[in-house]
Amino acid sequence: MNASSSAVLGAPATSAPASALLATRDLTVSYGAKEALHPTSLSFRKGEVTAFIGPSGCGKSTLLRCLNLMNREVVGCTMGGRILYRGRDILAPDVNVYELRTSIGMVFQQPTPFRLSIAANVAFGPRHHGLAASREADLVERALRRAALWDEVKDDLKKSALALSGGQQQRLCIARALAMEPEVLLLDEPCSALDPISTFAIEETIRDIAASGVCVIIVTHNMEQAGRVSDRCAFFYLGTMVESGPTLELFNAPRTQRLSDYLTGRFG
Amino acid sequence: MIAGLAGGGRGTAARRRPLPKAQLEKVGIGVTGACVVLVIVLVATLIVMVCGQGLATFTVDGVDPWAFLTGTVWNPHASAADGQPLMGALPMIFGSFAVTLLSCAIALPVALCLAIFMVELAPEIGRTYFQPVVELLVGIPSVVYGLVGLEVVVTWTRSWAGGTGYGIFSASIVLAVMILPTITSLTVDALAAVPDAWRNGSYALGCTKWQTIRSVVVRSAIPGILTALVLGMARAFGEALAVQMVIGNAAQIPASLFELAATLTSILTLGIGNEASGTVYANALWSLALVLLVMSLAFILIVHLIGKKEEVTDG
Repeated sequence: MNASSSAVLGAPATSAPASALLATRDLTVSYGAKEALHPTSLSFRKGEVTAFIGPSGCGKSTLLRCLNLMNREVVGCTMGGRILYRGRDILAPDVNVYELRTSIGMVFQQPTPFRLSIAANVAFGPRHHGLAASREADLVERALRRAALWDEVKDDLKKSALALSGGQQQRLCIARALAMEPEVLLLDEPCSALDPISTFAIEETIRDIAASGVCVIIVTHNMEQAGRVSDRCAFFYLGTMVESGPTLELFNAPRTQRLSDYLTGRFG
Repeated sequence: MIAGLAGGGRGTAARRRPLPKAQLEKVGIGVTGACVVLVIVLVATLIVMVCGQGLATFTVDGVDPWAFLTGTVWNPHASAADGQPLMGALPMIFGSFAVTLLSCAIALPVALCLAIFMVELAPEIGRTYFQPVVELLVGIPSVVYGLVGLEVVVTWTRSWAGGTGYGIFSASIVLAVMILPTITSLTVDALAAVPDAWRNGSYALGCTKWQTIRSVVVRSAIPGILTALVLGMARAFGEALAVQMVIGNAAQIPASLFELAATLTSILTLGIGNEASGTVYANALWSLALVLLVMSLAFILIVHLIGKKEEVTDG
């Protein structure tokens, strides 16, 4: 457990808070009296994919749901410490969570298309934040292209989103989040309900999104996936962030026994 | 092996068990099947009887069906100059539709607000306090609603609208209260069936609670809410006693909501006890029953169509 304090920031010299778009400082999360996430400090930069890995119930999804304050919707959930977005603490009471979530998008484990047409799903967020109807078609196309779904659905934009396959639905949800032009995209095990081909398509999409300058944070229980898509990794165990750093370094030379055991499949 | 065991068991068990298993199964199928047949026969007989008696007006008494549906004078005892009985059911058909639509227009917004409160805003309070109240409202006999309507609603209407206080307005208020629990509880079910994942999806896009309720929850639940509405309409359309007590029962198309009016059910219940069967008047009342039956079937058909459409969009 000594490792957790020494490796808090992975490579502290290069991830000074100033260069980070989003950062947590001694962030804790409690459900009632139980602390589900012990003090965690991490930094996330634009254009990078960060993966949270670890066994089930280790706190990785809990942390992710803090970053756009989705935990505010959970009764009995309290957060401590600080979350800095563009240098400002978003846990401060005067922060407008609705505005915040327009620039920090999120995609869930299960695809969640609304019972609307494909186009209306993509335009859902912008419409509720005052998008002019004239710009809607362009925006829908752009978002669907970025999510690599345009070619498959361009002739069916008026059809129900519920008629799409699971993989398409998930990419639609990514498009829906991208339609808000977010600076940060949070993905909570986005491929766990999908087949390998859909998973591959979504991983490609994730790399492209990061390449376009978005800060991507993905939770996954799949080591191979973390290796394929992420630049940096943070390993969680029982609510503690054990180790973090560049993915290749972490995978090739884990500094803690815990991560080494996890990577070799001794538990998880 | 299994057959051998079963065969060996049969010899010793036959004395203790009155019926072997295979025969017992047949008895089960027989009993349940008989009940199914009974209900089918019952429904079929009912439909045949209402159709037979109701159509007698047109086949035996020679009333023109179109004149029956569009005529505005209801006096089956008397005859017009051309010898045709005066059998215009339009005032009652109009009355039935008017009270149904108006009561639903009053009840639906209230039911929707109640359901949103119970499901989205305060589920705890909803479950502990509102659910039992709604269930209680369903259980109150319609004659009680009629009595209260007579004492309270009619008096109140008279106090500000003038006239007698009887009429479509009073009937719609009473009916709205009566169908409110039906629409509310079905709307609650419809809202509760919307997956939480969709709510979270909306929150994650920066939508507020109200935006989420309006654009995601209520919108997704529209088929369920429509079903609730149609079942409420069916109940309003078919309600007889409470309506009869407050509508005034004058077979005329009223000039306003505050004049005496009548519905199919109110004229039917008032008239049927006073007529010998087989008379022209009795046949005319059966024809009213036929109109009611056809409308009820139409309501049920609509509910099925909504259900089908929902399945299609979910697929």
